[in-house]
Amino acid sequence: MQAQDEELVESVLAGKVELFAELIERYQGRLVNYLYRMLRNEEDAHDLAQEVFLKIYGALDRFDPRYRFSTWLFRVAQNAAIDQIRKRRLKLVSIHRPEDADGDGGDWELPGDGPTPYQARRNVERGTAIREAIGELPWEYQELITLRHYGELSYDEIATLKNMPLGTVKNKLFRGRQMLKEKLGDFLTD
Amino acid sequence: MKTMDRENVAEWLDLDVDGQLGAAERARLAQVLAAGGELAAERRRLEALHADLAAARVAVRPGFRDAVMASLPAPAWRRGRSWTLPLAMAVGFAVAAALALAGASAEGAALGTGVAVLDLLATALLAGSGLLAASWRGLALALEELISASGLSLAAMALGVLFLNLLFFSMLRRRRPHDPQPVLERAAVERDTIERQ
Repeated sequence: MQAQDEELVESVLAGKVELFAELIERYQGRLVNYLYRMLRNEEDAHDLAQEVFLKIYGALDRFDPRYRFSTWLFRVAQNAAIDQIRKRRLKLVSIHRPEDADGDGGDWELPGDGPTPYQARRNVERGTAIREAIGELPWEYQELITLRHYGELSYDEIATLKNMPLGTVKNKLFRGRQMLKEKLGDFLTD
Repeated sequence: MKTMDRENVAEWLDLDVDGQLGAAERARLAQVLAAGGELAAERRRLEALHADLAAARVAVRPGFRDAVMASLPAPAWRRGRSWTLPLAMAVGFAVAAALALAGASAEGAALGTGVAVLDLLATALLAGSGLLAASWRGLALALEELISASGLSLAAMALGVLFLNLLFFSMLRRRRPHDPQPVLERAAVERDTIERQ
């Protein structure tokens, strides 16, 4: 049976430092994706995710087991992301490759083991459209959609993290997805 | 049973696609959905949205977890203090002090020490608010008596001072950060164990 996050934290504090790897394994995907949506840069998201894990590890003895580990982790991540956003202006990465010396520009070649070039391009366009559509949402909706779909937090966890009633979380997620559906209209039909 | 309006249905549909509806609510929603084709189309659009959001996730770069594990610092809670060395130093100090006292007694200096302590108390009483300064004076007198008693006392005092310094040093020093490599090896073993379970 898989140990609960809180049990793992206790074990790490008791000296089984190696079990922290299990916590990283559980949350790395969700954390990197959440931070990627917040920072809009994959490299920065990985760097900040690493910082967040180190920060969490350093403060593990201050973790209150009455709360969920995931909520604590994402609260630290959220604060770290907001700090970083404040510190720098976001750089948006274009899907277009800059022109080289021969003036030969174009799209990045995307690695893939299946999709045709058309599908690959379509996927990139869809990914860009989703990123932009989320980015255009009002901040409160953007944040909740990111926590739910990229941080993969439950409604309860989001309610705790944002200090909101559960009903408000449900309503805001519903509204946020409605807005996304409208913005992504063409992409959702094919 | 209350009739569901369009807004309610849309909300329930959204919750259902996100896996948040209970069995009873799902059954009720299914009844509503069975009535109209427009709602089925709405459901497909919502499912497409969820799928697209999921597809837009990025992959974690290979070796990320190991890189984090390798850069773990030695946090404050890991610096559990070992009392072996301070205890050894304290015992050493006690032995040295006992030797010094024994040496002093052998030379008949115990009486002198006692007089010095009495002098200390008398001085403290007289000094009143200058108690601290008087204490130092008394301590200096006592030490003087001890040191001048014999060569053994002098050597024992020197040893005592050395142990005392080492004791303070051992209590102040920080633990060296742990070597990350064994941690990674242990992590691999733990992972295998967990996977086997």
